[in-house]
Amino acid sequence: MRGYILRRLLLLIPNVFILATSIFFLMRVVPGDAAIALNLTGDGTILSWEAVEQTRENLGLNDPIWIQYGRWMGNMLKGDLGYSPLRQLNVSEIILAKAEVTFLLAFLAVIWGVLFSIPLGIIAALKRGSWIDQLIRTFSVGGLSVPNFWLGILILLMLVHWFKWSPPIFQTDFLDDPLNQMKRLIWPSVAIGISFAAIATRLIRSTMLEVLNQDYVRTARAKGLHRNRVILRHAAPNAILPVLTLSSLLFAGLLGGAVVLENLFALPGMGQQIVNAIGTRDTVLVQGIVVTLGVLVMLWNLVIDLLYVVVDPRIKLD
Amino acid sequence: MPLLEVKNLKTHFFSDDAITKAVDGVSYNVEAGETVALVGESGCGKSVSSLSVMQLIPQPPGKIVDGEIIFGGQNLLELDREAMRRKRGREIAMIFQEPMTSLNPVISIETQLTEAMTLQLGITPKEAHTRAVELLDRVGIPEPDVRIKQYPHVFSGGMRQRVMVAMALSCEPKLIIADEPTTALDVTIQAQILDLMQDLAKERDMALLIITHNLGVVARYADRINIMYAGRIIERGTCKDIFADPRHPYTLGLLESIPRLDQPKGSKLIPIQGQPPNLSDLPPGCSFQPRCRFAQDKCSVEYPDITDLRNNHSSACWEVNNFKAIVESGVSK
Ligand SMILES: Nc1ncnc2c1ncn2[C@@H]1O[C@H](COP(=O)(O)OP(=O)(O)OP(=O)(O)O)[C@@H](O)[C@H]1O
Ligand SMILES: [Mg+2]
Repeated sequence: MRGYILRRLLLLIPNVFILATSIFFLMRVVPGDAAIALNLTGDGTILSWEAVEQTRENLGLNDPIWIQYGRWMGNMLKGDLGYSPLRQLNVSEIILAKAEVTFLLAFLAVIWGVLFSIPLGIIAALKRGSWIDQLIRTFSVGGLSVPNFWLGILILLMLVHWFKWSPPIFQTDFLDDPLNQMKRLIWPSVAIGISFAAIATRLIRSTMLEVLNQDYVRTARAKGLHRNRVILRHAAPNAILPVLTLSSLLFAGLLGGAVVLENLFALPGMGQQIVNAIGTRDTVLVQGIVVTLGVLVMLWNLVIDLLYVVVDPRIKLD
Repeated sequence: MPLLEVKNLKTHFFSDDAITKAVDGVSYNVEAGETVALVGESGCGKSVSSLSVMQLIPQPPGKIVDGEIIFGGQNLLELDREAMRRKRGREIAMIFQEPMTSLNPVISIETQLTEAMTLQLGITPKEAHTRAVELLDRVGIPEPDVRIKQYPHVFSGGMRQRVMVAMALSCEPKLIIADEPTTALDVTIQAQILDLMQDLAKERDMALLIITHNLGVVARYADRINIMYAGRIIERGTCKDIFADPRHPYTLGLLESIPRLDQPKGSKLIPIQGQPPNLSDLPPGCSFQPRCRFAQDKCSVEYPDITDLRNNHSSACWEVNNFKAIVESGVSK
């Protein structure tokens, strides 16, 4: 087990390398650079082109692209994600302060997805063809077709309009004040989680229908077990296994959802930062955030693979 | 009074465009402690008739439309769901055809063995564990105290079927229904499992209903044999009756198609001609008539009732009384 985890972590290195290289060159294709943003006056006009040129020289933006690439990669190898001249902070400091919200949003979205989809999928399968099944299937088609930012807006409007709710503006983090942090994240994470819940519900419904026809379910019934035990202990665990895979497939998408919803709900996460950073061509920060999001996805996949070993005895790592 | 008495059982499957009469008027008995076989070609309704006894027919599309299943003096079809659940495993246990898929892949052997015992016998998990280890030992699993902690995927097919046998025995039922318990296993293992089941059943005075498509397999074990064709029993009798004095052309066909020690060496095996009928579109009259060497006009008009010759040797053929003569005269279509 330990050997496997170590090997998987080593595999992260080439993956991160490819991701970092791609985002580096992608950012060079985008016109404009941080030097301009650094030399803007209050009303949005450029101070002087000489000053811009000087800043470029200072930041090393005039160096050949390979030199810039080598410098950034070299620093990353040392664990240094670079320095944001605009924010006058180390990129890693900015990310450390913001990663929690983004990760929690995506993580909560998975939790909602699982909490909704397991009972709904199982009930739909058990009541196949009934009006309950129809209702649940309508929900899952709806959840699939509604974009999460639109759902976010809808939730926001409803909360504000009917419940006189206003987006909290205080800053906090989970360790200091878990309750308030959760309160802030619940609604946006629901908006992100609905699409996952919808897909997972459909998946669980269909695997459950399959599992209910399996020989081992018949064996369980032939033993005289109670119906609930047959469903919950014998059928359901086999039916919800594929949802684990689904969550690792969709996690990147959920992080993407978090990026959008943070902006909508005024949450200080990486999503807000990246939008801001792209606008000001804070390339180093954009690169740092993208690499961090990538690493989060890869670690999540590793965690899911390890979870599989726990729940499915047939799977061996080594 | 027999332990199990199935009377005129009819189990049909309903789909939009057809009714499949998988079991259509089946009757048979099993006495306490005896071994009875139910034999017939693939698809003739053997599994459906045994699952009907357990009331494990997938419903819909299946439905028991008629008949009685009397077990220990009680009609199981009149029991409510809870009462029927308490019979399963506790009084009638079942072993299935497919050992590879009949055990739950994500639950340990221990849990799968003990859960029924703690529920049905009301014993503690610890007692159930002890019993489970003993049972595994009895069915021939080496190192039972180690293997009990494992999961089904590390067991071979034969070992899994032994686990299934242990599971069936665990609540000391009065009847074990084994639905082709050895079809999926290789020949040497087949004999071992059947011997084991027979020994255990005799040891504990349990009745055994063995379902198979291979008449040869049951010759050694069964006290009585029921031959099934297209959803009905067409002949029944003791093992001796069936092998020495078959009274139905289908039974004769089955006997001619298996190798036998009591026949002269080199006698040819003759497969039964034609295909089993479609159970949703049965031919008129006797279902076997289109494949029968001795068919007469009458056969395609009316289905002969099953009639008793003597001592419970019965057959559903118009020529049941002078069957021998007909066979010898070699009347052939
Ligand atoms: N769930 C079901 N839905 C529809 N039809 C079914 C179902 N189960 C069985 N049948 C029908 O019942 C008939 C008898 O099936 P059954 O499984 O009892 O055959 P069998 O004698 O056990 O055959 P085998 O030796 O292959 O196991 C089949 O022809 C099949 O069409
Ligand atoms: Mg069968």
